[in-house]
Amino acid sequence: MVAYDCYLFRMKRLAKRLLSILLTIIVVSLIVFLLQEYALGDSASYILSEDAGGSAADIFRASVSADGSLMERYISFLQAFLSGRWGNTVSGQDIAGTIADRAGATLSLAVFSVLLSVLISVPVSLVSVKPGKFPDRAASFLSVIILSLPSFLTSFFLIILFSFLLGILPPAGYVHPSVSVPGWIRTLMLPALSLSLLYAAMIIRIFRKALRENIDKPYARALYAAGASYPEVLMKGALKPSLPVLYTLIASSFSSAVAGAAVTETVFAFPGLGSLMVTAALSRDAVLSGTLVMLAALAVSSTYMILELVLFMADPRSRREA
Amino acid sequence: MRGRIAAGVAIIAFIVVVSFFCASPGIADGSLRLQSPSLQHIAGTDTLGRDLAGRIGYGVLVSFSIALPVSMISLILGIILAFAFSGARTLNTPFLMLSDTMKSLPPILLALFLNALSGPGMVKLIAALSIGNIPNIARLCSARVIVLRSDGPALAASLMGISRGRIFIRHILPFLMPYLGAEAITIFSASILTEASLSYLGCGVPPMIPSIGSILAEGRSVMLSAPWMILIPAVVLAAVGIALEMIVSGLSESDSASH
Repeated sequence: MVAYDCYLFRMKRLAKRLLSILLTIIVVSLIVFLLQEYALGDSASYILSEDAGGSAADIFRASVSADGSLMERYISFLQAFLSGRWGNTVSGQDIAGTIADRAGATLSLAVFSVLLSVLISVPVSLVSVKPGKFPDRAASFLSVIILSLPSFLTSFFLIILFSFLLGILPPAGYVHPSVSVPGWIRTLMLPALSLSLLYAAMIIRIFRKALRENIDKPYARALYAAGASYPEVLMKGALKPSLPVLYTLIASSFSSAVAGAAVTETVFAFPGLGSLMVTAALSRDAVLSGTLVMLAALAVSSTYMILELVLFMADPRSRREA
Repeated sequence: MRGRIAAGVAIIAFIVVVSFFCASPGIADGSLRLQSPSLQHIAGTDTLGRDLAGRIGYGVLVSFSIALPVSMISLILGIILAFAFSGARTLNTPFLMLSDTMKSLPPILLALFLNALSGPGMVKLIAALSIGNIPNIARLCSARVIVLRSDGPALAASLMGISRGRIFIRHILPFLMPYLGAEAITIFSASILTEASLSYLGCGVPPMIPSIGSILAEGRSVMLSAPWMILIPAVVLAAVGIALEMIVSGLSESDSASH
């Protein structure tokens, strides 16, 4: 019976999340569509004046389906997006192909940077959990500094340190893993490190707060009273109930690496989706930019849905709430 | 914690006053290119020979004049939304979904998209940075409003037949203030960073206006021979960030002490 209730609850929760993804897609695509509608006058005349020719005009109008009512156009726009017909960039390349070429780089950067940030932040949080001690002060100070500088400045300092002074890592570029796996890792290191310092600073700040709250809870105090040492209480009593917070932070780091690493990718001349977004903005490519925005929204909301599943499995408390 | 807030405010005030006095876009002078800091040019000069202190001061004022409206707009529209919907508890779910949706669109992405549509601009930048915060503030605010409304003074006032708007302004809003203040400053400091990043990419404030981001973009190519071009803006930004962080932590401590 309990198992059945649990199952039912899980389905309900999952359905709610799916609904929220659907809503996200509709809202975001509507925003993108309406703004593009408003701006397309510009870019249509821009494109046509470059290409010229009467038949080109007709073809262009048909390709952006500038006929029919607003509603009809929105629906065909959404259909085109969902079926992967994303059109061409301003310079005439196939958008779907361009994105497919670059998605791998961004994805490997996201995975790498999240892994690094967990490797940095979890030990640091555990060591500096006692408030007021030296590790706490050092970690807090460093994370405030990192969080109050724009991420590209952290990247500059890493480039100066690792590329110019030590000369061990390349300052920019990307090597595809099929060419050379060590080269791939070497080119990923610096962008991943600068993203992960940012995420780690965030994780340390929030995860440590959760650890501190949990170590004062009755279940942790009971362990303490039973004779466990401070590290034991921390590892057995406080760590596990703080994990959902950590998972949430990991999900938000991952989604921001997938959706918004525009700055870091540009600093390191990294051929991913973020730098493509910047290229689209600078070359006034409304179609490419809109497609990337919708894909990012899709990626972020799917990440949060996976998070919901993970939390459900990891945290028995979340199953009890209605 | 009052001391911490006061110290933070003092640092910010100092930076603003100094920026105000030295702010100037500078005059290009080929003979003064990339001079290191001296008595004449406290922060040195940039690649075109312009006084860097003046440009940094100008840039600080530009970022503040973007971050201030962003946090104000987010806060005011968020409060208005929270008040408008504080009558209906069922609206919490749509708020939640809306703020989830906005969370999936990082402000930097939205700003880049607006740039792709029609180029850089101040108003667009402010809009792109504010829009994501509004549903979030509204949601957090309305959750607190529901608690406060059924508590002490607000309940007594509503039993005395005082109108909803008046209760909201006199008995609910003052209790939200420390929390909203901390939230506004968090938005403020995040906006400064996002503005700097966007201007670095060339998609923030229009290129002819000096900004911290564009100074740093210029400094990147010469960061080994002219390190002051990135170090001095970095120190200024770090000081701003630490001061704001001091205010936020002071405010949120006084907020949790009042509960």
